[in-house]
Amino acid sequence: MLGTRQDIEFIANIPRESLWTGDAIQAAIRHRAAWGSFRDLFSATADENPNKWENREFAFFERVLRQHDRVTNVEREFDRKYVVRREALPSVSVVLLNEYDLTADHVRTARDRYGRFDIVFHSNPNGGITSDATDAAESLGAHVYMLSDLLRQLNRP
Amino acid sequence: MTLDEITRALLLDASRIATQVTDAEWYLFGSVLRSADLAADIDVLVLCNSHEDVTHVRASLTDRCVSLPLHLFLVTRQEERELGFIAGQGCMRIYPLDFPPVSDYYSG
Repeated sequence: MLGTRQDIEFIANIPRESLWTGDAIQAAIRHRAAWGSFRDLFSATADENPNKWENREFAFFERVLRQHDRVTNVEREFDRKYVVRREALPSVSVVLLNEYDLTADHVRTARDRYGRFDIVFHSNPNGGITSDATDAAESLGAHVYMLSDLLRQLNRP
Repeated sequence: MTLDEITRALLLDASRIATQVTDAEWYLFGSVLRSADLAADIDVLVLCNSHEDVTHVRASLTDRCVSLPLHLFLVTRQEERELGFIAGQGCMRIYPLDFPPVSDYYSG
């Protein structure tokens, strides 16, 4: 689609429970098109330059990583999954989940969608995390962190 | 879609899945209750007895998640006791309707 059209400003993946691969995101960026969900499209159309629209959650997370002294590089595998390269420490894979309250199902659904990960970053600061969500993550070899704990954890092996 | 149309579509799923997952309760919440025509997502909470039931409900709604912009919040009764989400968010139960009130879950 992007190979034949130069005037596309936003690409929306319509199904609510769908995902973007890292390669698809990079293709959109190379063609100077914004990307996201149907809900994101609503936000982008209210922007003066829809092709420059950015999801605020992702933009914030990427800025936090750029500013972290231990982080040397960030690769995106999916819309909500990043691989974070660290100086003198092993890489870690991080999945962002923005649910108001995080449940075991959210964690296990993330595993089905994105594969293995080391860390779940609960990016919604207002909600809670159930005990079962924490247990589900640990059973999958991962941990759930809010922002401050995530930043500390990036300095640890 | 209107709220009534959304509810009727979800009732079909709830009835179908009830043959495999007993005692699940279905709720709508969020913007769809305020303005169904303008809501970008349809927030649906399904309260289940176990994580096995949650897994079954999610798998059974795969096709519906393509035809409707469902945002699923699937939660066990144990998790709901921790969160108090249903009462706190003003969720509207759509299935079943002849069942004890949700406040029963917070007592024990």
